[in-house]
Amino acid sequence: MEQPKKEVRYVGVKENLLFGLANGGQCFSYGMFSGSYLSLFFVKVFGIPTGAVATMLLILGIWDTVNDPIMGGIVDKTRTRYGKLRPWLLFVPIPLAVSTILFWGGPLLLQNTRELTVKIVYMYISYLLWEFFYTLGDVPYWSLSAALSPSPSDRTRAIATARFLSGLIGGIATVIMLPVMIDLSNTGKISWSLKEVFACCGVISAVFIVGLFSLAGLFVKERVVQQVEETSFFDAFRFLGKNKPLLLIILSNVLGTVSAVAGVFGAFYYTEVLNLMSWNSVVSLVGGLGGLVGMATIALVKKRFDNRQLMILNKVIPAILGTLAFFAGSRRYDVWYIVIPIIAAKNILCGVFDAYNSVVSTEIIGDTVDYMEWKTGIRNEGMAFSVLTFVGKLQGRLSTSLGTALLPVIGYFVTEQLKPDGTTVTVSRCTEAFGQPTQFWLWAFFTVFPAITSLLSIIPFRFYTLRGDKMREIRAEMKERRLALAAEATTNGGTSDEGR
Amino acid sequence: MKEDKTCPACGGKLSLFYLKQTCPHCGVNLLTYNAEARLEQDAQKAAQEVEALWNRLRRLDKAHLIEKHYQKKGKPFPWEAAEEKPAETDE
Repeated sequence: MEQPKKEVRYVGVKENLLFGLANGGQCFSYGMFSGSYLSLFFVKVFGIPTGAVATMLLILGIWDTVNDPIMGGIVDKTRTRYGKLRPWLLFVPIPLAVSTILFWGGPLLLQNTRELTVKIVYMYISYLLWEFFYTLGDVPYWSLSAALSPSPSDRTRAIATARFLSGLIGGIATVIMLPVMIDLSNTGKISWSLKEVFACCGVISAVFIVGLFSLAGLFVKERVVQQVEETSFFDAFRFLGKNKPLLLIILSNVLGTVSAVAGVFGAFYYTEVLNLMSWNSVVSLVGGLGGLVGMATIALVKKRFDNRQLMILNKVIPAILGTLAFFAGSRRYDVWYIVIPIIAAKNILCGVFDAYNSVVSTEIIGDTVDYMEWKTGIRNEGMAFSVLTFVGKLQGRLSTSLGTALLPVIGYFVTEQLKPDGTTVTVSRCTEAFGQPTQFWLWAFFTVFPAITSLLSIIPFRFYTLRGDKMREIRAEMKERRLALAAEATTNGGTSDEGR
Repeated sequence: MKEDKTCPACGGKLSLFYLKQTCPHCGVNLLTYNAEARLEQDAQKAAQEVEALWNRLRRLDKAHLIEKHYQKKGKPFPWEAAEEKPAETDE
């Protein structure tokens, strides 16, 4: 519907692949930081009380509201011969890798420390450091998806490749490596403690960051001609307020934040109710089939539906599936051969729509960048995509924080016990709440609660207008303007004062 | 990164760590200079890569499934379409 004619392709097969691989390296690291494992790591491995973890996640979530837009503003102000995004992507991988190792290696480094305050301080500093470098790479990376080509189908292809490869490579960390190693450690099949398991996974993550994430800065070009003169840092914030479609997307994402708690409860559901974290791997791998179907059919689906319709469908159908899954397993939620097929079936179908959502939700941010350039003459990829990364992280932090804070409410408690050798061991306990066992609430918060709350995020899309003919007109006009800008720079020798 | 080592206007050498937008030799803006021509070059290179990919897939497709599919749909073969693409307009 949005691309009726064939367009010129500027991004080659190799460059497209390298852009995707870079995201794979980044997501390998990020997957470990997602809601599922972070809470488990802090509470069970590091031995930090749930209250302190929830508070930290909330505080850092608030810091993110400042951190991401600041980074977006800095990116938009950057002007170099490599572009405004690539220099950041060339610099970030090494410090990001180091901070990743320091973060996951924390419990091992502090294993002889009994002082809780020291652990909490370390947790804050290492997380803040990782967060800083991650943002420094994430904002320019996604901004690059809108700047690597003026052609919308190039952008769709790049985003789809990145999402697909990040799912595949990132999945190795979250779906295979970590759960399997946790189970091997818990069952005594390997002699490593959980502290050593997480430290080892941190080092592997760092290798992926340096090896793959660097590819974006090294091999992907910025092709959208931008105004030569630097914008002021505060201009980026000023223009953000004028970008109504972007504000609607932000609102939609913020409304969808609560639905992300499923990730937190998923990890606890598998470990505490089914007693095997590897089930997560099984159902996620099966669900990955749906993702493959989604990625393979996105071009076809985009011919029938515009981006707004897809965003709405992507919320409604998973909500229906989540509700059905809850009722189907509500009486036998602790029997693996009943619930695993239910979750797997739900994951396959949701996987299709998750794949559509992952591409379209990034693409519409690129549309808002084009819209702002059309309206004001200034492209602000950095600021617009910082919103995407900010909301993604806000969802992760708030949902992890909310999920962790809810654990005692539904009757889940963790205590530390001193062993004869002087070390401590963390012991978890499921009781009951509101007349139902904790296990029931873990199932409900894993399935139906996020499904229903995700419907709230549809409301802002009722007012979203960047689609169809309007978007085509904007792109056509922008193409003319960019050609004129490039021609002017070439005929004048590009030696205007602003360029110096 | 190969094209990052010289100025597209004067051919002067540029250090990888030289970040300014303008060439230190001739003062041209390195990012916008000849941008349209560079876009065309990229389009040609991308078309060649797509063509090469399709030809590789054709060699793997011993049962000619791709050809049969496109014949049935009455559409041009993708390797032919890839050759034509650069001549078409963007919008």
